[in-house]
This record gives sequence, structure tokens and C-alpha cells, in this order.
Amino acid sequence: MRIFISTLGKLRSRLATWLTLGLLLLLMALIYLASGATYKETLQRGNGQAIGLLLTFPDAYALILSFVLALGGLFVMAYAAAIAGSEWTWGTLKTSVARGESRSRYMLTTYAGIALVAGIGMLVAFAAGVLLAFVGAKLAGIPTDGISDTSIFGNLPEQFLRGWYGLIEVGAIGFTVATLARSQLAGVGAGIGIYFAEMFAGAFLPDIVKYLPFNAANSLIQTDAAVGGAGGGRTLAVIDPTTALVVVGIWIVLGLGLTALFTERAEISG
Amino acid sequence: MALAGLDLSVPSGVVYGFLGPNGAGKTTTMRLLTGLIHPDGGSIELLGRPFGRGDRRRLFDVGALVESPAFYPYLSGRANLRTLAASGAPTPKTRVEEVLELVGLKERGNDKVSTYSLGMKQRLGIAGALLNDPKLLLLDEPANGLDPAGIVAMRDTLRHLASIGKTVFISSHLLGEVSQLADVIGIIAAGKLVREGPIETLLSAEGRVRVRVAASEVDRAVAALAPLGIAARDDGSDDGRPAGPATETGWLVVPIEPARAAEVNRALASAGIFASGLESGSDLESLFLELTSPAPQQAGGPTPVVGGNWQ
Repeated sequence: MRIFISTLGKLRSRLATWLTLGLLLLLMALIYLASGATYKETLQRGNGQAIGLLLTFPDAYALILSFVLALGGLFVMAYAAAIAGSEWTWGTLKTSVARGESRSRYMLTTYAGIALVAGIGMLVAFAAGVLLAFVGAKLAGIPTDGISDTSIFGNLPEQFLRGWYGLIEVGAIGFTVATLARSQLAGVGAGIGIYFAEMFAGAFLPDIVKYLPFNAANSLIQTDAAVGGAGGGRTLAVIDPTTALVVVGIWIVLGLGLTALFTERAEISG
Repeated sequence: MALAGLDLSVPSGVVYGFLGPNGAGKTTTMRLLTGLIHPDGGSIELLGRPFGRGDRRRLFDVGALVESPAFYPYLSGRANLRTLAASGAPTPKTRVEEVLELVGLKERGNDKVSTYSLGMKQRLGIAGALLNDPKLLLLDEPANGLDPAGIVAMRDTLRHLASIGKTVFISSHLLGEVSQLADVIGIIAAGKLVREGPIETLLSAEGRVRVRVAASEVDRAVAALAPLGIAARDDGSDDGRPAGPATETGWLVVPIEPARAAEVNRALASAGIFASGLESGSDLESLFLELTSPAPQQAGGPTPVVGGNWQ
């Protein structure tokens, strides 16, 4: 518990935490505000339906969540990789191990902290997304009466949990890659590489790729007009949500298990 | 670096200086002793008991600074120590302030580590090693980056720790620093311990006297010293004096304790030989270089004596 609380303190003070969240919010602001500002013009050209869906409540709630998870998945993966890699490159893991700390407990507890921060970030981004969609709707002249329609809220907690579960999975992949590479940059780079490799491979091997981390995470959240889940909304083939729960769980266990095993066996220097 | 049967005997309550040239295995030894790496074979004993993969809690009684000090650059020195205290050995919260005070960083404790100088990071590293009030303190090149005042303060701190029963194990290549600080030294070369013992004993045992007589009297001088049980040798010195056989330079090296220099002089005088030069002494640098020199020593041949604080 001491390490967990300490990890939360470290993450709170770390620039990467606020930079990641800030970047996500900035992208969302750009997209929602630009959508709102250009809605009428786009509608006149006959292409405004998708934007209208994005800014019309109550359907906008599900789309905001889906959007947060789409971008958030990639960001959480890079973030987790940066945290794991820095433990090796800065030598802070070494210092704790030399104090008698358990290697695997240290790394897994650190990841638990990242997972919690990712969940909080998801909620913050969702709240910001609602506000941005509201402002975008006002700019677009779309009625916002549906914002108080609570019928969709019944499903949201489960969607949140599924989304968080997906974020934990892709974060674990980034965390593991960075641990194996013992490097922040290598971890972030390899993680992003995996993300895009999976995206492109999906076009050729959809039946296999649908079980890979990002696609499996994406399959956890399925909306009628999905723009993606934690995997980024470019799924060509999906697995059903129940199977996705199992597959994502396997990836989490596999990733964090590999992290623990590697850390236990590694020769630590630096 | 592979270690070959390294068997160190580190008495408790002393400052132990672990010396060796670059690549000799000092840092490997430190990593083994802190569980950062594990031996392919053999065993390690730490604090009197076997130390293996499952014995990490033994490190609760060990404080270590291995290689360079490692911290989160975006956190303050104080926050880094608090973070460190959250892992490994349970540490009282008040201990952070105590060690900051001890290493003279209390005033700068709230500054980010990224703004610290190398010396300040080193002091913070030593503070981190002291967090759990260890029985055994392992410090790898602790004087790195410290200014003279910092070195003196560190030396005082380590001496104080030894005086209250802590064992301080420092690896270093700063021989002057070690000779001022250590009670016992171990010298490692190519993964093997080549000498170990109290520093005075080692220096005394490795001491020698150099004497200069007329070149024509070298043979007689050697004969005069023989009754003392001393086998005087040519001084193949490379410390600035002309090199060459004693029959040309007149310099002889007499391998006895420096305290017996007068005996050498007396024996020569008794034989009617008057030395034009007599130097005695020994130093850690000479001993270190002699033991760690990669060049093979010829038994009975000239003994190189390099530099030193000769009296």
C-alpha cells in the first residue's frame, strides 16, 4: 500500500500525467469546437449527419465515451510505457530493489497506480467531452435538450467499467514493452508501432487481429455509431463483448505476468 | 566482470575500502551484495548469513549507493527520499529530515533534483542509503562529484557511523581518500581478491627501504645486509632516477618495514659503507599499482616502485 500511495504521488507530480491528459483534452476541444463551428456549412454540402450525431444529446454521451477511449487507449499506452521505461533509465527501480523491495511487487504496484490514474483521466475527459459537445452543439445551433435525458445513464457505468478495463489492457501492453526494452523512448515507440501494426494488419488478417490487444479492447465497447473503443475505432472485425472480456483479461495477465517475470530475472544496472 | 572466488572478510564496525582498477569487479561485487544481480555459481554471505534470491529482506539492514545516485528528476530531494522510504525497509517519516540534515541538504530539500549539482545528488544518494539506519552501508565511489568540503563532511559522517558500530564498505579508486578513511582494505584485480587486511599492516608488510651506495660498493653492500636476512635487489625504479642495474646506479631496494631503515644504515656503516641516500616508506598507491599491474612480476627480479610519499 505504501508503494501504491507513493506511486500516486509520483504520478500526480509528473509532467507526463498532465501533458497526456492535456493533449487528449486539446484534441477533443479542437474536434468538438471545429465540428460545432463548421456544422451548418457541412450540412449545406449534405455531409453534416455524422457531426450532428456527435453533437446531439443523449446519443452524444456514448460517442463521447467512445471517443475518449479511442484516443485515450493510445495515450494510456504511451503514458504507461513512459512510466515503466523511466524506472529503468533513471535507475529508480535499482534503488528500491537495493533497499530490499520486491521487484515484481514494485512494478505491478506501479502499474496499479497507472491504471487508477488512467481511470480518473477517463472520467475527467468524459466530463470535459460533455461540456465540449454542449458548446459545440450551441455553436452548431443544435438543440441541447437531450442533455438531461437520463435514459442513457443506466448503461454508462458498465460502459465506463468496460472502457477502463480496455485502457488497463492497452496500458499493460505499453508497460510491458517498455519494461522489456528498459527504455522510455523504446517503450513508447514500440507501443505506438504495435498500435499501428495491428491497425494495418487488420486489413489482411482480420480473424487473427481481432484477438490482438487493441482490437480486443475495442470490442469491449460497442455503440451503434462507434468511433472506437480503447483500440481506436478502426476495427475491421470484432469479437463479441463477452469474449472480449476474456481476451482482454488474458492480455492483461500475459502482459503484467511477463513484466513481473522479466523484472524478477533481470540484471539491474545503471 | 566475472568474479573468481572472491572471499571478503569485512569486520563489523569498520570502514572497509574496496579497491581495484576499472573493470576489476568492484561494481559487480556491489550489485551482487545488493541483489541487483545474482551469481551464476557459488554463494554469497551477507551480514553473516547466506544471501540468495529469496533473501531480499536481508537488505532491510543494508544501505546502498550503487553506481550513480538514481532519483526522479522532477521531484524534490525531500519527495524523492519520501518515495524511497515507501519501498523496502519500513522507515519512520522523521528519518527523511534526519538524513537530509546529516548530508547538509535540508535547506535545498524542496528543490527539484534536476536542479542539483552532481555533488548534491551524491549527497542525496548517501542520504537515501542511510534512510533505513543500516547495519551495513555499501557505497560505490561515494566521493564522486563532491567538493573538498563535501568530501571532508562525508569522511566525518562515515567515520562517525563506524564509531557507533556500523560497517561501512566503500569501493573507490581514490586511493588517497581510502587511505584516510578506511581501517581495512581489500584490493581486487581481475575478479580476484589480491590483498586484504588492516591498512597499516598491509603497508608495513609491503614497505621497503631504498639505499644508495657507491656503485663500486654494491656487491659489498648486498653482502653486508645478508646477515639481517635481507635480500637487497636492484632498484629498477621508474620514478625519475636513472634506471639500470645497481652496479651502475648504486640504488638498492631493501624489502623490510620502513621502521627498520636505521638497521640497514647501521649494517652498512658497520661494513664501512656509507650511504649517500636512504629513503623509506610505503604508500597505498605503490601497493595498489604493484598488486594490480597487468605486467607479470618476475620472482626475485627488480621490483618497480612508482611514486609515493617517501620519507
